[in-house]
Amino acid sequence: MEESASFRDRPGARGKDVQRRGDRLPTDFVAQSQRTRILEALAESCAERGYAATTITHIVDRAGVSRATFYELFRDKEDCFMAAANWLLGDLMTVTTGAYSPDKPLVHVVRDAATGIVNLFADRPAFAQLAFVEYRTATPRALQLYQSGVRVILSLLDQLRADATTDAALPSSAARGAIGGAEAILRREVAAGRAAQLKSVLPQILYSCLVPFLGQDEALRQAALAET
Amino acid sequence: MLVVESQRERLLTAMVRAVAERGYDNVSIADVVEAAGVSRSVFYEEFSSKDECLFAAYDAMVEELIQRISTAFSPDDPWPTKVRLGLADLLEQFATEPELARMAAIEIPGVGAGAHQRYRDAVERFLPFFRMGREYSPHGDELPSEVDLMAVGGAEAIIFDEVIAGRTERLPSLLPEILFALLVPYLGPEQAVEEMRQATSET
Repeated sequence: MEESASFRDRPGARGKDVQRRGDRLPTDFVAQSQRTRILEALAESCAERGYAATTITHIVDRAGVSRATFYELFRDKEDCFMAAANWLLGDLMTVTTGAYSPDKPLVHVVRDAATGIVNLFADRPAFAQLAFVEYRTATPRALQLYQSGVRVILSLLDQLRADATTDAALPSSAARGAIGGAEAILRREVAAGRAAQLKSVLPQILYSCLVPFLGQDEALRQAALAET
Repeated sequence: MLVVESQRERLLTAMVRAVAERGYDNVSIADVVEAAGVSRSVFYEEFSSKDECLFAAYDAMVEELIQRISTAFSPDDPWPTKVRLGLADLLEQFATEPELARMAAIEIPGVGAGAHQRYRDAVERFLPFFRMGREYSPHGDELPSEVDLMAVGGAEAIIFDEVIAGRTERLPSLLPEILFALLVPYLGPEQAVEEMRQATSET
């Protein structure tokens, strides 16, 4: 089965038209939307009651599919969770690499990547819950996937670091700490049920990511620019 | 000095050890009561479930961590020094008691709902140590409102990576780097690097 297309272009996504035809929809398309609905149902079920208490019954009821369909697509709950996490990771990478363009100042790349990531999670609060709250206690492999996501951002910030005049003096963990600061803010907002309003903390996230490399004045300036 | 642990304390200690040794899923109440040298009925006098015992152990651990850190510095120390001394104490505790560090990370699959919030609440208990940073910072008023959470989150990320990788013994040697993460949002990179250098030369 092909990996589903970009998260934002998934069938049924807000703003994305789903073609309606008189004929039956092709089976690939049906299977794809079933898979998507299951992954969304998993995220929503976990957001509601936590991963441990979520059952396959919860998931299939919410997705409007049969158990048989679930098991055609996934081995078990963990497999389903990992698929959802991988989907998210894929889109994180797309957003981050998509922020690059030739001759674009690196600080703007960081700003655009941060904005894209915040929007990704603000649009789908249940997945934000998965990424920032459930990942730690869901399954050990989920943590590894989370750390992969962190490494994507790390490589971006380390490039910023290479430009910084204080580069030689900065500790090797400067970028990890910068991301950690942003993570803590995101986690708090999501755990408090404010995922849909994540854009409001974009300035703080930018400050955390930029201050070790650009200094306080410039980081404050960039944060102020990001105020909506 | 003779320290007499209450039965409750023995249960909490036994729980922490058991979880560290074999993972929460593999720990039974029988394991815990045996290690604590108390009866099952005593367990149920104190706690209604395994989760409740774990959470109580967690809370007690965080409380003790905070208490010890509070005594690591004197009120007259400049703020960055207080942070450094408090941090040194925390890292020392984690290095000498790795099961404490693992518990702190509450990286425990299978624990019931509430574990995550408990962790977040524990992290927030460290925030008051950082309020003084705003007054100390040259940019005091302009700093983002969540600068305290940012600082603690940065340190947490570095510490957590080491704990998860089973490298708690490395933590004290990472003090200068973790100190940098704590101070940079308040002081900027140049001053944070300077504090880091001083911390390095003093170890």
